Amino acid sequence: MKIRAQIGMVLNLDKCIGCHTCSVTCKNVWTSRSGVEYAWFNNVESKPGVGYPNNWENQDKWKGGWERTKNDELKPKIGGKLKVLSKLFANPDLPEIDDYYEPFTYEYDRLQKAPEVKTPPTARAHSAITGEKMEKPKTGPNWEEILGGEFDKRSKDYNFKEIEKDIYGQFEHTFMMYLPRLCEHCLNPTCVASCPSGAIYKREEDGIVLIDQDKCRGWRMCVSGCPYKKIYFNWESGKSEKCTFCYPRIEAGDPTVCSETCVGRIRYLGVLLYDADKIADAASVEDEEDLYQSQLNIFLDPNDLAMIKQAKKDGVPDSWLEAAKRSPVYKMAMDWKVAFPLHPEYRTLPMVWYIPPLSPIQGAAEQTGVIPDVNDLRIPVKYLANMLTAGQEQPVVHALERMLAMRSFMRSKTVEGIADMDILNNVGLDEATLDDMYQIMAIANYEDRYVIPTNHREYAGKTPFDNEIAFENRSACGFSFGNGCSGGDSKPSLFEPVKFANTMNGKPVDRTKKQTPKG
Amino acid sequence: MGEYLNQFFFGLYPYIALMVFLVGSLFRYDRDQYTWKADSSQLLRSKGMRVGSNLFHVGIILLFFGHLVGLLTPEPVYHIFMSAGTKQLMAMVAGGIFGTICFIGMTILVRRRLFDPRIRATSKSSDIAILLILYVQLILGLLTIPFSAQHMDGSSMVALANWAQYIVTFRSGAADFVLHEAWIFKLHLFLGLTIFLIFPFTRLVHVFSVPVKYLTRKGYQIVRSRGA
Amino acid sequence: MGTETDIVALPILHDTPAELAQGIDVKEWKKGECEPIPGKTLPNLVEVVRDYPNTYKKFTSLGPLMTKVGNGGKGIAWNTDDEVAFLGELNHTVKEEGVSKDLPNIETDIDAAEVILSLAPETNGQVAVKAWDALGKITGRDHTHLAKPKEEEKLRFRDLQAQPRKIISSPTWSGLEDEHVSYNAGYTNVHELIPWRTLTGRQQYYQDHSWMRDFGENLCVYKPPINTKTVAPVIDKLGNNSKHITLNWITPHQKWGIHSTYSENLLMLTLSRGGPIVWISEIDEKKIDVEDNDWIELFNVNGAIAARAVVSQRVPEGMSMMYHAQEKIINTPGAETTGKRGGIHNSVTRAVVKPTHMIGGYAQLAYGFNYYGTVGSNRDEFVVVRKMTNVNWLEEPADGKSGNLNHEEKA
Repeated sequence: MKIRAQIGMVLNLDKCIGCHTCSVTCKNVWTSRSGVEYAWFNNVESKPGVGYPNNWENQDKWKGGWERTKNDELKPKIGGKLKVLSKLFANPDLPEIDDYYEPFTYEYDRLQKAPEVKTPPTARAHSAITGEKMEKPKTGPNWEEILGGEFDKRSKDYNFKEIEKDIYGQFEHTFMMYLPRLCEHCLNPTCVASCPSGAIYKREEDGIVLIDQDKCRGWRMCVSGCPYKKIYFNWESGKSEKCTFCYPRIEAGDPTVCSETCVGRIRYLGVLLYDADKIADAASVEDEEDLYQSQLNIFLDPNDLAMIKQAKKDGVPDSWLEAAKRSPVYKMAMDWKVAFPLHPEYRTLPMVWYIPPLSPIQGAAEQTGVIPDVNDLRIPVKYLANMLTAGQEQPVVHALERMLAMRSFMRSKTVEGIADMDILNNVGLDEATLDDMYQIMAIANYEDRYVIPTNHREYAGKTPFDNEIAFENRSACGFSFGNGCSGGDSKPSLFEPVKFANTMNGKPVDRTKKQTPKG
Repeated sequence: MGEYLNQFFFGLYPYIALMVFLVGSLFRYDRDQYTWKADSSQLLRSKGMRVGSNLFHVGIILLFFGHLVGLLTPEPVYHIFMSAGTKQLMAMVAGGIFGTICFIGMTILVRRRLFDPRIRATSKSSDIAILLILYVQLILGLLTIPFSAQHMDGSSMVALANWAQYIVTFRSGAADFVLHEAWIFKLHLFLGLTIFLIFPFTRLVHVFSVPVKYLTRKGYQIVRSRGA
Repeated sequence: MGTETDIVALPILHDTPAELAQGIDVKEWKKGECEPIPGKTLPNLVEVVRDYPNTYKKFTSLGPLMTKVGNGGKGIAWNTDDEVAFLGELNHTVKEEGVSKDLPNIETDIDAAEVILSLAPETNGQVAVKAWDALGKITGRDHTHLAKPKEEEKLRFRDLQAQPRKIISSPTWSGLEDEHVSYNAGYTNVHELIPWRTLTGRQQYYQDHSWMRDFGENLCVYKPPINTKTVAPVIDKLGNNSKHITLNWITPHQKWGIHSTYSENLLMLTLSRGGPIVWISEIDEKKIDVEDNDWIELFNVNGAIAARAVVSQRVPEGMSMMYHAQEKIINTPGAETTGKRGGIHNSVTRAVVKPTHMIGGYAQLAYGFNYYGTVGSNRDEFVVVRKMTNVNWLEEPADGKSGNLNHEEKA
């Protein structure tokens, strides 16, 4: 047994309003540079749809995630180590930028500087890559916003697997939900596994998966390995980049930027304790439908005294063990069973979980009890199950029923003044648990959503109070582009300095003029 | 004058080039690892990469090791198996085949690099320069085949191998071996040395980073502590 | 220019006694049916003095009328001596000689904000009590208890700068800012027995105004769209022979803003489709051979739009829709029918004056600026939609060759 801790995330899709604030704030902080204009560490998709990049969920096409070999072992779907190396020269499973979208900007200047023309000027779109004019963007990071595009195209959506889908293309049977996505910071990440340089690693202390920018050699196997397509190749720097889970904020006990700015208050951050020795077994169970349960099995009860003793031995700090007891993520995933991993069938054991959304009752439902039948909800349960439990419907039904019960119970309690215990008994909840659920899921106060222990500088050392490391880091330089403390400015260099032209400032890039590096 | 230049280009220049190659590469690795990468442009355009890049890389790797073995194997060693003439024939045939493979791949890559608007717009000048230099060097190499065919006794080959072996073993008089060789061999040698010279300043450094260690990595996952 | 006096015709206004001027019946003085009496059977005719040389001084100080006639709204008024005196201390008074001397300053944006905050009942408890008191004089009931507990509360600019604040209940609104009930329109009418602001003082669904009766609108019922006669004149004069279809036109608020909310920022455009778009249904797309993201042109007598089609199952057959504020400054080509740059969502609509909108002096149907008056009826509009055959960016300088429309005619 080897106990490790990770900060996990839950997104309550029932409350997502699709405002994209998470995407915009994330982009402004992390990817507003040339080379990654096309990269959205966080994006929000309108479902059903093929998403961004094009049809990312379909691993028959992209070969992301793991597959089980004949002798019950796991191997990246893109291939074993030799096969990965054989793909270095040209990676057959690499999306092209058009599978994301060709980044563009506008000639905003023309609105002020156009010569006298017959009709008012317009700022035309330009490619941020070539600087050439584009007649129109052909795809984008949110192309299917509120069900944009023909059903025929959008219904290539992998989550329609085993669903008679034609009916859902009719106006009367339309359904929709939002799916905000980011790196899953998996327990069994395929990106790490497929990186030939060993540049990608999972942090022992908090489970955040990061790419060492100095070690990355740009072999771009991780892009294919990740089934969520959440590793982006920076075409300017020639290195891969990914969601950092805003680790500088997490270390300080602050939520990630996407969480902090979430308008609908749908995001939760909290500690999960797990047994690292069980990862391999949990990820390689035979039946895909068992993967959700097998992942649950490796999480540890934060109140179990024997576990706490072992965790302390394994170096988990006390503050983390305390935080684990209050973790909203543990409660939603383990206690209440309302949150689920995204596509467990990829066998990566993802750590960003989702609460499925309720939806309006379809048609004139013949309501029998107080709580409507989840099969009358507009969003087909099977669709949600394909997304969250590898197709197993029962856990999703159970979660939706509990959420419906919570609504009915609280409505009856606040409007009629009656605590209808029958509602709770039907879904196996007691009043105390429901109160807690209501407080965390419905009221969702800041301190209930984000229970993040600060990271210990000394934790990185060999002993609990390894002051040398703490002192070394004091007043050291923060994030830089590998040039010591230079702050990211490319100094004049003989060695092909990486340029970060501002391709997002609204001026078409003129790549014929090479920028001279600032001195 | 001719002898002086010959001495400079084939006696001294090799050491200058190799010195810059070694020290430059070490220096770049040490202080500018962020720039150390394969610099693939496949994301922006994958068309032509499957065929072009694979043929080019396979071809050039085989050519490189062919040259390495061919030039640096001492005469007594290969005489156990074959004569100089046989070896020359082998070199011509193997070089011709590998060279052609590489040529096909590289033609695709050069075309892509120069005429695909996305690739052209995002190329550094060093990307275009190194590709063209390699292309010219490859063509020169292929052109030496008809020259070699004029004397099949292996004498030219032996002279060139002697030159290379003298250079790497720090013996004087290396340049004398190539003094009377055909201009095409000299040009090919000179450009080859130049590639070593500019190596640290281009994307070529990625050849040092062939991830063979990947094969010996225990398991698949890497967990690193923050302090590590 | 010096001081000028203008005579201005002022409509019979909402929130004045005149709003009942035509409550019984409409009579036309022009036809000799009644006497022309300004403010009753004819607009008010008022003198407006325009003191041009002192415009700046008047603009940057709180005028003397505030103390002379007080402040008010919704037909009630109250005294503001205390507030004006307070503002003189807070913003300081004008020291310069002239018309504004000794009046409170409104020199800066913060000064202006403080004036509003001090005078409004919502942000000044004392004023709120005065306002409810003024209303009580009309209703004959005491309403001041609605503001009394907050009488000592005053919100200053710095307070709002620090964080949002809860405001104070005021008779300007029909709901309450209250701990026991959330804001709910009409709440005070029901619970404080304040008459509804209608002719009868009750909730009124039937309007017995003779014009309403004549137009059959005395009771609010569904009416199908009227024929605005904007499609028939253009439908046969298409620039080319492509397939076309006529669709109902709606222009809803967008997800991130309404009306002219700026949305041409690069990230917002990237998260949309990067330029003007119009939504149509999957059924209609097939009728005109359009696919998602194709350029389409929409036009009628009023004007034309060049945009890209977003085809979606959520749009029912027969409808087309363009969200607000997609200005033609972003990636908009020329419209083939006009030869000018494509348009915005309102290029194909126009405000249609409806006779019943001209009713006045009838309590709830009395004119107030930006309150009650004529409106456009966009939802009655229809547009012709067709695929664009060529995209012309109209970038030639003014003296160059003109757009493709003329080329086409020559051909």
